[in-house]
Amino acid sequence: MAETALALDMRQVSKQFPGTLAVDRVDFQVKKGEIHALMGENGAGKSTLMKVLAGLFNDYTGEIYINGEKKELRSPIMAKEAGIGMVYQELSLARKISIYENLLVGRLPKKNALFIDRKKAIQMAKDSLERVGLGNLDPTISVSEISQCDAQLVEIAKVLDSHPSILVMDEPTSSLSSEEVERMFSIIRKLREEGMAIVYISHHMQEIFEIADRVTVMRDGRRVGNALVSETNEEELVQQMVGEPVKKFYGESANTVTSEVVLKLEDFTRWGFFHHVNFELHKGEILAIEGLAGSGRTEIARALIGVDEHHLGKAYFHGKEVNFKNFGEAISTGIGYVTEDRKILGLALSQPVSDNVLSCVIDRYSKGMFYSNAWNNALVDEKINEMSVYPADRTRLVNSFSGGNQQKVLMAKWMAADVDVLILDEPTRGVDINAKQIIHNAIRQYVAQGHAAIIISSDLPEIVGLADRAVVLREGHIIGEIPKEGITENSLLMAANGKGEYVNV
Amino acid sequence: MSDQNKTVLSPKTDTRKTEVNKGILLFNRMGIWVITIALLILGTIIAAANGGHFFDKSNIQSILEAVALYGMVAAGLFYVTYSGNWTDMSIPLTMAMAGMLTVQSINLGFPVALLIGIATGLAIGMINGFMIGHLRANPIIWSWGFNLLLSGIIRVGWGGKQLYADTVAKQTDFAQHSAQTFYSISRTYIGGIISLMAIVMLCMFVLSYIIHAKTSFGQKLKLVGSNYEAARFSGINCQKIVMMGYMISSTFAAVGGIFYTALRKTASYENGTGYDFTCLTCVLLGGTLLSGGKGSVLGTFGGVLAYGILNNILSWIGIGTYTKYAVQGMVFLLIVFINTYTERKLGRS
Repeated sequence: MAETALALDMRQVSKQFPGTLAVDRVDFQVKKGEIHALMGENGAGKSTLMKVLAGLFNDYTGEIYINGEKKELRSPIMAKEAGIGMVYQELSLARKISIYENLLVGRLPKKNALFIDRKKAIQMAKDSLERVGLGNLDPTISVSEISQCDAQLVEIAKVLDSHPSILVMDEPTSSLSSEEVERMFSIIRKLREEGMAIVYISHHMQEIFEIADRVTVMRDGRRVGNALVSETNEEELVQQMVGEPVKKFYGESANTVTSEVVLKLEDFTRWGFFHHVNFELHKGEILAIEGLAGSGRTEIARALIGVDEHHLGKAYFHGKEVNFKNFGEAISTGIGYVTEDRKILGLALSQPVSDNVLSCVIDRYSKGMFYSNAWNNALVDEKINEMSVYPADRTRLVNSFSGGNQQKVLMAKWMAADVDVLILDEPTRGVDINAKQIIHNAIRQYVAQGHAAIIISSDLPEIVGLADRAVVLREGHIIGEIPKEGITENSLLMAANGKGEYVNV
Repeated sequence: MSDQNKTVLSPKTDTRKTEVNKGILLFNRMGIWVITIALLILGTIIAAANGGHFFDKSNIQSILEAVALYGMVAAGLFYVTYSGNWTDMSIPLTMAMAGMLTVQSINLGFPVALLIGIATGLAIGMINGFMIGHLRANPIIWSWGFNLLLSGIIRVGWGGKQLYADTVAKQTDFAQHSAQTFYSISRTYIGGIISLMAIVMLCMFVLSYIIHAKTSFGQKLKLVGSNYEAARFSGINCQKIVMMGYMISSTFAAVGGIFYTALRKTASYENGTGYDFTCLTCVLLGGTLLSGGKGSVLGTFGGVLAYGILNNILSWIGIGTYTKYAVQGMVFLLIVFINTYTERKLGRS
């Protein structure tokens, strides 16, 4: 392989975070005129690797060559000057100002010291838009008036204006419809023909096979696979992403599933989010709702507990139809929901542990209109000891705890609520392995006591370790069901992408 | 392979340090009493230097009388700030409107007129609470605008005139007696020493304390004020809780407005001018965070006392009204600054 043909050559690049090696001696090469897909599960290190490339870390190790020349990418400006263009998932455009002002931010042409040469600016903007197939778009309208797809393309045009030789795209299609994806792809192919090296990050297998030339797979901070797309297949990629089964971290769960149905959804629909969802949850069961981010898994939970509306269908709790107007009703009936973001939705961080743990049960323990937390100190102590919250001090403010212990406080809150059915949305995101184990044991124990749980998680090993059954959700539709014996990271990932033996639509 | 498994299992320790500064926390809770004592000492010195006695019966009386009205309003306004909605800008016209309607209905007898005045506050609180709690209107902009609307209603409704209870009252013994009773409420001294207004203020603080510290509403309001979304995802009906907070605030303000009107013997759209910022200063002085969820009724009481003592000291020094405004403005801004600073130090949700 001739050196000169490589647009990007990262050699033995590592990036250490406190307590974890996020990128571990990774080699990553992209040729000119190549679309190179980068794949891996959440936490595999692909975004960290790309952040190194974007110059967001000044303490990476290893060497980076761009067009054969050794470069130091210690700051975003250095990266930009080296020819790296980043297109992020979240757009960096100011929605209320015009397209041309967005495109030419920081380099608007001037007539003289005071005035901007508007005509020239508009012409410059038109030229950039031409490159991404938006020649017909009026650059004077504001970004908020154009479609998501067009905005994404404007974003690309903006990045292209800095004349990068390497373009990094992070999930550029995540918010686009299928026709829009096609449009996006034709632009990406055109850029490839111009000799641009493109790094394409995506979770969608289909897209990778449609557009990429080569694919690199990362797992646990390492490069574990690199192949031409034409010489690999989905099974192989999934196998590489998942790796050897990591086991024994999850002890065998005692099978506590009974035949008693506690919760049943019938034809449950919120237009645009999830459609005709049917499933049953049994006493003593942990049911996983498996799907990619954006598949509608969180939305089902929110509609069920009365936070969002649903348009069609019914929910039955212990055989009785329920239709909650607010979350309070759901809790008093016996359905709880552990939110995915503990800081924004889960906990009052500036308050002590006891206020948080008891926040769901104020009405239950009120005497008439009177209430005091002090009446339930024993309950708080019991729950935080059960969850091994450290330090086990109920008067301590929650924001002085580590992330893992905050999550344990959140779990203790729901253990204190003592509901029949608990829906857990990403119950262990961003917590250490120890806290994870404690939380998993708590979920198991809780279910063994005759309750039931629904788990929503992007952490595949977590689902493999916990779930008794999984229903597969894709684009808002239930497309299959995986029994306990069949749940592996492999089958979950295939099913979430609409492939494999468990998909029956 | 075993090496790789180890990588998977290696703990990702959370290394963030989020220790709360204990000194700041203590100051946030107790600071107001330190300030109050310091002001008392300062007052004693300044009064002595001016040849008077700060702890004189008449001086204490005048401090208590002066803070009574602020106190009544602040005891309620606390709930708006505590709920995370900063402040209620319609406080002045809530007070004015309650005074107007009390005087207007004086012919029905004093107790009925009093109830009508209080109900006025309750109704205004419901409207504010509905708009801000349910429809999520910006609390400052809405209540400020509503203040203007109320002012317009009073001026149009009464043709810009001021109302006097004894002229509104018919020439019957009953009505005149009602008017005199109304005037007397701000001029009654229990045992000849302590003003009825001060007693009422203390009672309102006790009531406010019980609501805040001993009821399920108070506990829910604490969570709503700290993190609205987290409270919602704990099954708390946040909209209802915020609305109740506004109802308490406006009702307390109405009581303050009635006493104010009785004291001035005049009901007018001007009654209550300045109470918005003065009472907010008291609430913030007491350690209540501007963004909600932290603070206490006892602290607010301390804030009211400190503010009263400060004003008293200013009169001992003998500075003019204009200078007084400047000092009050500076105190307000300083308090807001300290408040924001402690908040940052305490770490927010």
